[in-house]
Amino acid sequence: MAGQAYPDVPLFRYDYTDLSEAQIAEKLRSPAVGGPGSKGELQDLGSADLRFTAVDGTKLSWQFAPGRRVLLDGGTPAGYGALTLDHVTLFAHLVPGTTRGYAVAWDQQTNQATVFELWFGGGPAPKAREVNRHIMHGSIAGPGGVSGEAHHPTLRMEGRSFAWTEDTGMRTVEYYPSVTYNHWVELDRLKDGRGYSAPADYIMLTEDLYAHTRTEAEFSGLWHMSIMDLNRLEQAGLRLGFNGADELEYYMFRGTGEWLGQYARFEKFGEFSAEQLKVADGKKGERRVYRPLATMDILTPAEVDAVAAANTHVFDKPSPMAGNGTTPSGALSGKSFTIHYDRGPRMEYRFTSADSLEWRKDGQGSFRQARYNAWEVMPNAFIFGHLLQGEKNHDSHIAVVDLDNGMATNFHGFLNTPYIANEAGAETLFGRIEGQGIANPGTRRHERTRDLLGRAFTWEYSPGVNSMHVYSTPNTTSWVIPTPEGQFGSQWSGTGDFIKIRDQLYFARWQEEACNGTLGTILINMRTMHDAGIGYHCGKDSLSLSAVGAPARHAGKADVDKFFPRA
Amino acid sequence: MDQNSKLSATDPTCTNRRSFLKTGALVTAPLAAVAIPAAALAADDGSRAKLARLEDERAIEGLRRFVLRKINGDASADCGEFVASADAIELDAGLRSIADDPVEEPALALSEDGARATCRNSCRVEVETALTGNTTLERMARFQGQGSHRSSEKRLLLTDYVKRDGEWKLAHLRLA
Repeated sequence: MAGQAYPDVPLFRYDYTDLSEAQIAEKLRSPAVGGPGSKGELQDLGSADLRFTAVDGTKLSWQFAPGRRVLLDGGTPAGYGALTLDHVTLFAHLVPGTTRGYAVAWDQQTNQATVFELWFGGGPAPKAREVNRHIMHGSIAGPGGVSGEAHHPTLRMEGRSFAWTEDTGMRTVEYYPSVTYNHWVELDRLKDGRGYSAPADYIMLTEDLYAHTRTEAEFSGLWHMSIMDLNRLEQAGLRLGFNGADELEYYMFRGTGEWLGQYARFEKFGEFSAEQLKVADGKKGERRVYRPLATMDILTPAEVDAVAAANTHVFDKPSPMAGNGTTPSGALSGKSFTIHYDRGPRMEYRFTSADSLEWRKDGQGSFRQARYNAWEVMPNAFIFGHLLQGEKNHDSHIAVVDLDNGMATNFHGFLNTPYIANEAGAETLFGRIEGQGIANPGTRRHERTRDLLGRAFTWEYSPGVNSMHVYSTPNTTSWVIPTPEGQFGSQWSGTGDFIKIRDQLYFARWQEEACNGTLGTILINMRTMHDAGIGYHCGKDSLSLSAVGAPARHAGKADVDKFFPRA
Repeated sequence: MDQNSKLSATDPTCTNRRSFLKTGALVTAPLAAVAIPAAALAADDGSRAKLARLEDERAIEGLRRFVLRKINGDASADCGEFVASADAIELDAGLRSIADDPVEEPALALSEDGARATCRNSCRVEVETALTGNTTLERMARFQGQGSHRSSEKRLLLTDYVKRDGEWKLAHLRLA
């Protein structure tokens, strides 16, 4: 069944067709002969005869013929495309009668080359539609001989971000916060301006020129690559794979870029190695690809109810997400107030101790007791959270209350979403606080902010439990995991929301959708560079509210505001 | 993870790295203090006592370094040869190594009767923390091949010694 080429739902909600290798072979038959499409003119390499030897000894040859025909190792003629960026030529073709293809970056000054062997089906990707790639660095025999440094993986692109505009008109904001992952935001193909994360390659061709690839694993499986001149901010690239409507996208493009920023790198000084996350005895093309849904507990609503009934934990054990957290505050003890949420409930609170409160919703029934924790992150500005026992969706309220100005914001969490019962859904509620000595804010409320947009912060939660957040779009939080050597590695992303509480005090959240299911909330104090927060999670073992807290480093800010116009 | 397990030299269930610290037959003690006859001590001008003290200090320092080498390296070592009791060594289960501060000298204090001693010295310890939880970050760290985390921190090594039958034994070792 044909679907949407670019879905109007988040990609992790879209049910991509599990295309068979035979279906893919059929879809590649004609394009293999015709070669890749292009908006602009593709280069003709004449009758060149290129013989490549990889550093591992693998040999490949391409015999080019007029009319953009090429024979791989003397095989069946295929159509090819070529584009040259300064002195590096990128050519690409499929191999007729197979589900294989090649993209080659050839430096005509040095004859250094990188070959990307590409294939659909047969693994290691779990689905045939996900493009596999195997990278070979080497050289091409030529009259000028081979000179210079071999192409190699690099960390030199780590932390950068660019906006690229293809000659197709498609615009993409790309963050390169890791040496093995990419985070990209389709500004035109997708409508909700959301960022996604994908396994990537970063290859240094010269000091100026780099090759970059991403494989949209877990989603369409498309492979998108380019060689890029980072001084001239130009690129030439190839897109290969099947979109959401199962249409083949096989075209080359030129693009122009805009430098958006550079996040700090955290390797030791003098450390320039850029090894990918290794797989022991890996198959050809195999690498570590984070597939979060495969490791997530997936429960039914009945199972969620059973877990909640049997094993609910609210701030009753140490949290690895708060080993470096601050001490909970008892300063709310003895206070009473009511939060009136706009288009939401009226919550009455009596804080009976440092970790116990009584709540009543919309004035109905009697007060209920709940365990809570609170943190005073700036004087008189608190984050606190509790479960609403008895609510059918096992709701949580994680609220920030500013008792100086009477405003409150609640990241209301709930289970039993339409997607996965134990995946936390969330909504943001704004309100005012009514209580003795608390100023009435009138119609003033906390507001969504762009102050965090494009910023990245590292968080050191506990020994070995570290991450960097990238607030890549107004509705995306992405998290990247460092290696012990300080390189950033695997990355994933989910829905985010960002609220300004006070100057330099922000309430942020992320939802681990189709990925462990947690709702993470943090109140970030950029003056102390520390946060305090609460995680809301339901898995097969328990329903829990637990502390989150870590000191922060500000890794930098990408200048992306203009790409996300306000509604 | 049990962060405060008290290492027992005789606990057969102990599976942490320092399970090698088992008691066994006492071996020839290389660290025995030289016995000095009391009459000789009484008769001389105090230099014998000073000599005995120096020899005690040297023996204790040798024992202290010997203990650290055992903790840091030899998995087959038998701690029965140098500890005064089975629970003499009290270290966190995740501790992996202890290295003396290269600059600061250990501060050793001998008791008046010469039968006991205490030592304090700065050190750097390496601690390994297993990432066994189910938070997303721990899952992703394990996915990257990082099942545990090692970190080092500056600590104070406190050791107590007791002389038995002319030999110095480790009475207690802990980190502060």
